[in-house]
Amino acid sequence: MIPYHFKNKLLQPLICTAFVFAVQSCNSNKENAVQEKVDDTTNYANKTAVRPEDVGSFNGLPTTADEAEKAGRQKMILLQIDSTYAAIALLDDAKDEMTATSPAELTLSERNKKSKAIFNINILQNELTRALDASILANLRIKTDELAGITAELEKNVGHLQTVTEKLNKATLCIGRLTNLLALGLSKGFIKPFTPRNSSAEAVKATVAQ
Amino acid sequence: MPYTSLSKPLIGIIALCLLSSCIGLKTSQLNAVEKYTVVTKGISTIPPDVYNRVYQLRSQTQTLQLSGVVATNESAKESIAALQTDLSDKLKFLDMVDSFAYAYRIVGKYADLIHCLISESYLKDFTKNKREWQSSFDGLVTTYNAACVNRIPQSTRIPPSVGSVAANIINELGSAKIKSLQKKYLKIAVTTARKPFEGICDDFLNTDIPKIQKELEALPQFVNENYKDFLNNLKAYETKQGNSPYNYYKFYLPIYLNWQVQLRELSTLIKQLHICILSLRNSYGVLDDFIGNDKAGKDIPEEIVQLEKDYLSLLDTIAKFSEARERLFKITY
Repeated sequence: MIPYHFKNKLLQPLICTAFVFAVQSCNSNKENAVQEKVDDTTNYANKTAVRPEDVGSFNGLPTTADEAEKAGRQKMILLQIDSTYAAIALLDDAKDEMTATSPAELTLSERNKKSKAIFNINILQNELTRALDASILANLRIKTDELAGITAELEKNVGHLQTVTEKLNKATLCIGRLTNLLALGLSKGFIKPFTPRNSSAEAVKATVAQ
Repeated sequence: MPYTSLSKPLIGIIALCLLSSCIGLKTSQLNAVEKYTVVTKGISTIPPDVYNRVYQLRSQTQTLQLSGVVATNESAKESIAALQTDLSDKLKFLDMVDSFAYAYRIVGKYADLIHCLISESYLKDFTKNKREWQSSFDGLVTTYNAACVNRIPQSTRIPPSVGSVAANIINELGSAKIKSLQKKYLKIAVTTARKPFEGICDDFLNTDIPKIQKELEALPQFVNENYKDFLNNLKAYETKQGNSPYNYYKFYLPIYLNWQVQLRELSTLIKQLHICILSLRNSYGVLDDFIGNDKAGKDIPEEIVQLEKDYLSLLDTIAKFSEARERLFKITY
């Protein structure tokens, strides 16, 4: 009996002490740990700790409506990209026509007009590659108008490049349609987030709607 | 007596259970996190580099073509205007690269923070600059979120919980031991960032990759048309004005060759980057589940092993670029 009582009296407090010590030193309650430190931060207005339900919401299976929305969104993005690069290709075809003319057939002034036209088309093509960003969609409208100007200029001044104007007119129409398509994408929010621009969302929307 | 004899093992079992739940992550789990963070940090610098390469090509060929405009212009005023337009266009490209870089810089910085919860030496270095890190991270998140708000309708922002977790870790760095930080924050730091991280990867896969692939299809013609116009003006300079264009050709032919090399490098880079980001995206959930599993095995999940392989292959390809370039130029000139 004595040894049993001895064991019993010694073991129980020993286990209890180990138990309490383990729990205190463990500090494994992640949720509480984060919550208690949240108040130390000053950089975030919303200092909520992460709870399992916050994390779990995106782990669930997507609903059919979600999947349909995602598919529609993806389709629209691809349509915008395809249309943009189709317009770029049309402009490259027009440039190809211009550079196919032998330099011997052109006067200095005609070469100058031709090179300027190609340069301005380059700028427009670059604008197109950036056009998937909402805030520069307005620029695209301006550049498209400039393209119409380039076409008229070539028609008037460069006798050897008359066939190019047909291609440029086609490209102008194509870019006009593309701008409308991109504006539709913008209105539906099918555009990825970029760096903030100086103009506000309202300003961009208003310019595009013009 | 029977009650006492039953309570002893019971208390013992409870104590053991509690103790086992307090044990930190297993070595395999820590290794998995370390591999993932190293790869993430490495990959995060590449998408902006890809955009930089694309715009560099567009920009360089445009400048060459512009020389034809300047050479044939009679008015210096017109030439200056064209040069200004060219400069403004280049600056817009640089803005675009910075714009794309935001999301990836956030990802890279967050990977840095998680890495310091794994490696003692990394933690030591990181702690020295922790305040600068936090300020930079906060700035990037604020800017990125402001961009999301500006969209119509608003895009998904990086949730405040990500910043809160980061701020908590930063506050304890230097005062708490790495094991304690791991136990307290590692799992939550990984889980909290899962949604925005996967969102950034999805953005790249669904928007950037299709766009860059189309860009890559369009670039060769863009390069050629600009070069053709330049050659036309050079030919006229040679034949009509009786000049020898030898020095021009000597200087400009390697430039064309260099662009062709750049196009090939870009194509290879995009293919491999696509694989890596897809692997990165798909293995985040695996990592999150693996480190949350108390019964995790001793082997790192296959997805993370594959991610590391994909990343090493990408690095190997990039390392070979300069060697291949050097060999090509040697046999050409």
